[in-house]
Amino acid sequence: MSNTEIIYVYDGSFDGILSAVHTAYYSRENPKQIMCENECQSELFCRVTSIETDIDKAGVVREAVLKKISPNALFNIYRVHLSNDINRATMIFNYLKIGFNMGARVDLFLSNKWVSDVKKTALRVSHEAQRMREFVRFSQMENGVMFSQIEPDNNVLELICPYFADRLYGIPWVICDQKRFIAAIYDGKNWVIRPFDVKKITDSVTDEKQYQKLWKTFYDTIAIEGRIDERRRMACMPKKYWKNLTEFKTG
Amino acid sequence: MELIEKLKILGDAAKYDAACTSSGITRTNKRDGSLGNARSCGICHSFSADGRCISLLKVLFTNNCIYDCKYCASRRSNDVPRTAFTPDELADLTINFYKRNYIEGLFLSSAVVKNPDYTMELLCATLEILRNKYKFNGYIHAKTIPGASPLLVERLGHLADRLSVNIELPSNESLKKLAPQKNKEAIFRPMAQISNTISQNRQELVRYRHATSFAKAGQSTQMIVGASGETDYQILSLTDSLYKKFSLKRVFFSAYVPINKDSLLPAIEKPPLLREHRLYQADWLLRYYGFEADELLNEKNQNFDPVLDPKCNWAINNLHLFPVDVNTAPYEMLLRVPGIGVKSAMRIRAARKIRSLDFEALKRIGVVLKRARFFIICNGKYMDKLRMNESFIMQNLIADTKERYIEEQSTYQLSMFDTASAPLGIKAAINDFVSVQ
Repeated sequence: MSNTEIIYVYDGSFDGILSAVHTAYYSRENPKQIMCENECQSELFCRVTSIETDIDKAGVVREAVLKKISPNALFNIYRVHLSNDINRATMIFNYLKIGFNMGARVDLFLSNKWVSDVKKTALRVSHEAQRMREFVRFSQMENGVMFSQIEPDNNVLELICPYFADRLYGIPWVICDQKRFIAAIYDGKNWVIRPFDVKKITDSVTDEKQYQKLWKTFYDTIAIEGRIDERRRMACMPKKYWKNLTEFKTG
Repeated sequence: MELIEKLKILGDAAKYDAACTSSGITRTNKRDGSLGNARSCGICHSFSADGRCISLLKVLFTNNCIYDCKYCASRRSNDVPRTAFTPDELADLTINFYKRNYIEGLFLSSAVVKNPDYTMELLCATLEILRNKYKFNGYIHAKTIPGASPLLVERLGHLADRLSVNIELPSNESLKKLAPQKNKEAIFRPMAQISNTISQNRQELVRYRHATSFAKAGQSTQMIVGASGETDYQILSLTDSLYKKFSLKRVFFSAYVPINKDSLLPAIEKPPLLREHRLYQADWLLRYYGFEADELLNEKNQNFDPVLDPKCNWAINNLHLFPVDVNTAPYEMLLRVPGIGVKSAMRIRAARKIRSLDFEALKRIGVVLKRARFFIICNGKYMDKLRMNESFIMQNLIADTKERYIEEQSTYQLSMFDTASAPLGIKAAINDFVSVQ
């Protein structure tokens, strides 16, 4: 055990995190932190190791998680990876360490800080995905494609795609994540996620404006004056999401 | 009339209905050109300025009414603009809202135009266009019209996911007084019919491949709270017997909003929101926490405490059952501790198998220690080394009550009428009310 603490830096991908876990196990090192390269701040008195993403090593860890812990554990760490928590990779590493010791029972070990942190973060990501299922607002483009913009805190885009592919089966749609400049593109059967530039979008058809107006009217009508409760509305529908909601758009 | 005007009038007329849930059924897209799916958890697409969720397009088909129920905005004697959708335009609107992810589906109710059967035909026609022409696979909640023929109720049930018949007023006397053209038979007969058909349909769906489902997401109802003189105990006991007798999925409470002036209606300024909130809390205790109505209220204490929630109130009155040790107490008892909900009780049950729990662990699990600390011990010890007695606990729990509820305290008491006299006893009166010949 040396006195300097070790920090791993990875490229931001899920395979990158798994590669880091692999490296830590086989070098018998115990990194204090595992950081994404563009979020890492240099710290004094630390030894920084850059981890190269290796698909094979990542595959080994993935298999090990499935076999030695549980499929649910893999789903947990994947959701944590999608979160915006700066310590997400560190959390995953420590959770897996306990998991490889305990097996599937790790998810019951809620009195442990790392297990509880991983489960809470995974839940937070799922919650935001659910909010996006609620708050995506499509508008119909001239070519018939349904288009929507979102700005979630966590990278939940791929978690919501299966839902919309089922809901609007056969109807092409695009959901664009404005924060990460990526979009999910669905052709009526399959969806893919690609880098995306929002400037290419054509104007929507006139019918579209009419339905937006109808929706706004309904939204304003349905509230009961005697029960106005701004705090409750804000708790259920935080203001940060409002700018992409049709009901709050002016004009 | 323009569609936008109709939507304004008929949305406005429907807004006092509390229920707007799209829950109770999971259905994937059939991949046959149909549109939409359903998720059993329900999806709220928006929240209006009053903080209530908007899950469905909630409108009346028409607000043209032959009835004159005192509390209702659409009553015949009110001078308001009247209009009606056509089945086609309402179906088209639903589809276009749905495609844009504004809504999970349609919540269709109506004033009674001409007669109950005629109104029901119109509702059925709208839903048939949605289900057959547009192959709409999303959620539909339909309200049956009191007094409609059983055949039409059956037809509506095969088109909708959830059916509801609103009781509106929680006793026969109030019904007679405030909704003189309705009677209890017209409410409870369809309710019984729907409940029976749902349970028959469950068996048919298992046995026959081509059986079509009938109101698979169940049946619900609504009561107005504060328009008539019933106590919380009467309302809660009625709720309890509705769950037991008709296997309802939900009973909704709607705080009475004073719209009309009438000598028979209470003169209040604000809707009794705190009272509604307390009833919902108690409703949850009945459905998910294993409580019985009689444990929460009784003939002597007929109304909820404005400053203490029903669960805290029960715990204070049953201090001899506490404290419970979280590491050994049975799950059913954990559920009864204020500050421990269903989720945290399940987490405690799982986590204590791995390691015995201390207060730090409970905090991580999500237990609200602010309330729970008076009622639990971990390994034989209270959280703070305090001597627990009733008045001490009361003081602390009340200090914790949210300010906005304290504001409403006075209205809570004011909105209460003299307790309606029930010579038979409340239980017998309720049994009589919900019975159908």
